[in-house]
Amino acid sequence: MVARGKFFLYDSITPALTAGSYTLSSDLDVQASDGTPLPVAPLNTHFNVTAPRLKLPPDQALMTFPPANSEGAYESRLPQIVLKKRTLPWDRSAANPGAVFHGQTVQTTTPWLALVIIAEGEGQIVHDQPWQECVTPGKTLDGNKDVPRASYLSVPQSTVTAVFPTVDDLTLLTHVREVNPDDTENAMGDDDGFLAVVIGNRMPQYDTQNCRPKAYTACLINLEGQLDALPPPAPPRNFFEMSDLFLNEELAGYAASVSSGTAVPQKVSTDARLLDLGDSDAMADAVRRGEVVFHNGNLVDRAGATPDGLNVLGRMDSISFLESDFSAVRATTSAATHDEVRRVEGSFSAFNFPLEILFPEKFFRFPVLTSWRFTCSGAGSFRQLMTSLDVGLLGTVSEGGYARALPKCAPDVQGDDPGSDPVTQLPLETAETGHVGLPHLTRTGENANAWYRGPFSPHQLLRNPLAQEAQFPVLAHVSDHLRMMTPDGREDVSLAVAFETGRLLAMSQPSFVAAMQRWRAEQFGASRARLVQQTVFLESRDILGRLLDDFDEDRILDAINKGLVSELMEGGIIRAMELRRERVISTPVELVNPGTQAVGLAGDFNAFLADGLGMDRALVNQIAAQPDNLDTFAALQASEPGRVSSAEIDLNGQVEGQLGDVLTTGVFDLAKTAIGTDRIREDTIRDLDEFSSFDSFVKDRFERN
Amino acid sequence: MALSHNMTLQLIADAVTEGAEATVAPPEILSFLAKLRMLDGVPFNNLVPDTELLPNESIRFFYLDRAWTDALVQGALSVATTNTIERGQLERFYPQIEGEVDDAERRYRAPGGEPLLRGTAGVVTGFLLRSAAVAGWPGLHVRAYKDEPGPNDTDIHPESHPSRIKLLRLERLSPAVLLAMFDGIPKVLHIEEPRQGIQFGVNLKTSARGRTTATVPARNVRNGNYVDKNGAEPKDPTQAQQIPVRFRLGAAGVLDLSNTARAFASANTTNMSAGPGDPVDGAEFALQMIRFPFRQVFAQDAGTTATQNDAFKPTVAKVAERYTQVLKQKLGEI
Repeated sequence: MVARGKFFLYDSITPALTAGSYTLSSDLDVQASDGTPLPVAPLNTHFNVTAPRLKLPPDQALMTFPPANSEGAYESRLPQIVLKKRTLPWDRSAANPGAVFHGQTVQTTTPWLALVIIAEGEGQIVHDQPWQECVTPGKTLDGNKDVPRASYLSVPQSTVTAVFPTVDDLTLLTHVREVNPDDTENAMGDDDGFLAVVIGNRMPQYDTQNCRPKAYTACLINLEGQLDALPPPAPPRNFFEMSDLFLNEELAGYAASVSSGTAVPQKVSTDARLLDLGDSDAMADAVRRGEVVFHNGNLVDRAGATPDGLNVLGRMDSISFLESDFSAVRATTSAATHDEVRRVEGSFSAFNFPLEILFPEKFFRFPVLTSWRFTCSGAGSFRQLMTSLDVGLLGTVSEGGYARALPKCAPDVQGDDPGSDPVTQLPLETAETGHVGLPHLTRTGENANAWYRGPFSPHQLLRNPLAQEAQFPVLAHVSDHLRMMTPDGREDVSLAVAFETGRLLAMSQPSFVAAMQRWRAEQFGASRARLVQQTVFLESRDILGRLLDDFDEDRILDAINKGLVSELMEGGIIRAMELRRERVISTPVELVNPGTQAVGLAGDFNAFLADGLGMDRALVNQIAAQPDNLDTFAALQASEPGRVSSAEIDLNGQVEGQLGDVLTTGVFDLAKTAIGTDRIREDTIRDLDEFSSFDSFVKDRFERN
Repeated sequence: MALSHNMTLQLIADAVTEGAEATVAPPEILSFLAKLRMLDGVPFNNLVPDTELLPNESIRFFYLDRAWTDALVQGALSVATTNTIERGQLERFYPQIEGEVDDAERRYRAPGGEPLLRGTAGVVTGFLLRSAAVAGWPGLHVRAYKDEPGPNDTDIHPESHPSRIKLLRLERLSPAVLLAMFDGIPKVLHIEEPRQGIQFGVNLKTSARGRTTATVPARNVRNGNYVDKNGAEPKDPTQAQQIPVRFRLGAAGVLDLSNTARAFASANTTNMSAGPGDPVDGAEFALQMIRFPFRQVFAQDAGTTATQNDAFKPTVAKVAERYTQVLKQKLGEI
């Protein structure tokens, strides 16, 4: 077992069987002793080894870095995902081991998964597509699919070349970590302590050129059958330049321009359409679909976006637009109005524009098992946040608070100091004790100001400050018991508020209220009874003396203190009754049962009993005569068993006859079941044969009668 | 007849011992009251009455006011008392119930694989942290120590270790607010990036011309320690051999892993081999790239390591002392 806080790293853990369909065929070669082969039919067992393929089950992702939807400084860190199943990256194979792509050989340890980090505008994730659509057109996925619909990442060749790992890189990007499963900090809820880790090969960079945050999406993609799409090895460099941050500005421009706007249509068909400004019905329709929007005096055709930005149809004033008078449009560029643009279908929703239609580059599709977004904001690493915390004790009011760290490239704000924010409320009144002055509407309707302090104080406090003052009870029954006056004449309602909060929290849970009532009824009722017992018994101890003559006083007093007098009395009464059974009013159960007379037994019953049990004859007689006598009981307790007699017992003929009849009937029933007929003769039994075949069985069972 | 007599006494003895082990309050009531004591469910307004007390990006240490939590419990106990007899009884039993809740509140948080705490409740301290770090790094590790946990900065003692102060409650009250409560007065407090964030990365350096280079301090893959050029193993990563990282042409931030791995292997002291029979594997690569999570230390004594030097180090006890002094002085003025 790995020690806590330590871990082991493994290069890979390959499964005994990769995922897929298997057939287990078994042949049995049997020969008789004389060499004759005895053929046995081969047995084929089919089974599937399953593993996630197109979608990662949510329980498999134990952790991601950077955290999903987070913002921070991740420039010097590689994104990663931690997977629960240790063999997951090797459960499938991207290509057969030994295959060569761009001069790189596929190993058995080459994973089928890769974590790629795509910046905004470098590619597109499309969700909820049939699985056939999720691979690059022309590729297929053989075998079972875990889900019918999945997500895919659509990326152009330029992005793949720039950011995707090479085949050789893949093995370096996966490993297995073994931790102590009891170590809650390291194991992250894993069951066996083995975690598979997939690392990305790109450190997400902040856009220092424009000094703007940059959004990234990390995608865990399936590489099955598509290793040839990965880039070839390129000569390395010891540095990188920020000017390389935007891989393909043309594509990014497209992505940005088509996704700008507020309400945007969902589906775009590949059919081209002409937007005729003269046809005002068609134009009104386009406006209704959100295809054409009016913005700042411009009529914009958003569906006809180009890399240069939005397609501005022309300028018009808002009154004409509201009246759908498109003849008033003054075209800015004559060409744009009659360009072929894409027709827009569907309703308003998130914009989902297939870049492949717009962009003349080869696009690849990879199934995405899981993906998450994060933003590189240039500043705000964990370290930066923690070291610039405003530290103090609760009750300190800091001036202005802490300003969020800005990236280094952020320009200095020029000009005069804008000054502090306008004051919209009175400054908070605080006391050194941690109390704050808060407005207090009293019960009489007076607008007052009271002191309040929550459960957190900047000082170490006495647990019960009121205990020393006798007029206050230790236990408050109503919140008013806890209202206090401070020397400055204002009320301190802290504890009263606490009391009321506790009461309301308790009241909000009917189960708790019920438990309290039950507890009161049972426990407090019992304690009342205990009190009564104590007064009664401790004041007249001779009652106890009469009840139990040799009682252990300490133990009994203890029992009384615990309220266990009823148990005590119960025990005492049982004992008293045992000691003087003859004086008990009711009929006691017989101590000794003399036995019941057997029918058909000839002779002295007591003698048989004594012989059979090996007992003294006189004692048995005595028991039969006086079963209630305690002396008899004592004698029975004291007696010891003797030798059991083997003497024969005479039974009269009646019993023998009964036994014979029962025996005959029993044997006949058994034979009838075994042979299958009730006409049994001597030769029937003699002719019986073992069933050598099913036919003989049927003949025997059904054709005899 | 001795048998039955013994049985009677045994019956009583059993009943007596059973009575001694049972608590006055039933367990379901005790657990509810213990939750209240740990302020579970108490509205945040009641905990921090004004936002100015807990501004953005701040940490505030505190002592728990036991009188306040006792008042909370008393309020809950007052439910369904209808007459003087019941109140009288409650008053009679209250000291006992209080003791039982003291015991129960320490069982509120029971992490797996650690022994349970017992004993009476003492001073409870804690902190409220309001920061983007709470929202962005879920699962922060908070460890409080009675003493500095030792010269080796990377040591982590288990919760049951005598120098650890037990965490009574650690909970995110809202996405960006973390509440922690400790069973005692900590001398040293560690807040650490989630361990799950064993991260992989490099040290970046940007030149004036906008070129960014990166290095990784070398580690010996046999034992995971840093190594310098001569094979010595310094504690401080800055003194280790710095291996340059290779990048891919034309893409900012994209690593050329195969060539970086070759650079790792060619540094002799890392004990890695890049021969055809034993190429650099994923585990070796990961080991070189591991960056340990950042640990923020709040402590009285200055630490020795690089991480601790730039940390702000007040302690609950120290700041409170000064605070109390001021208070006494002001009281004297009245």
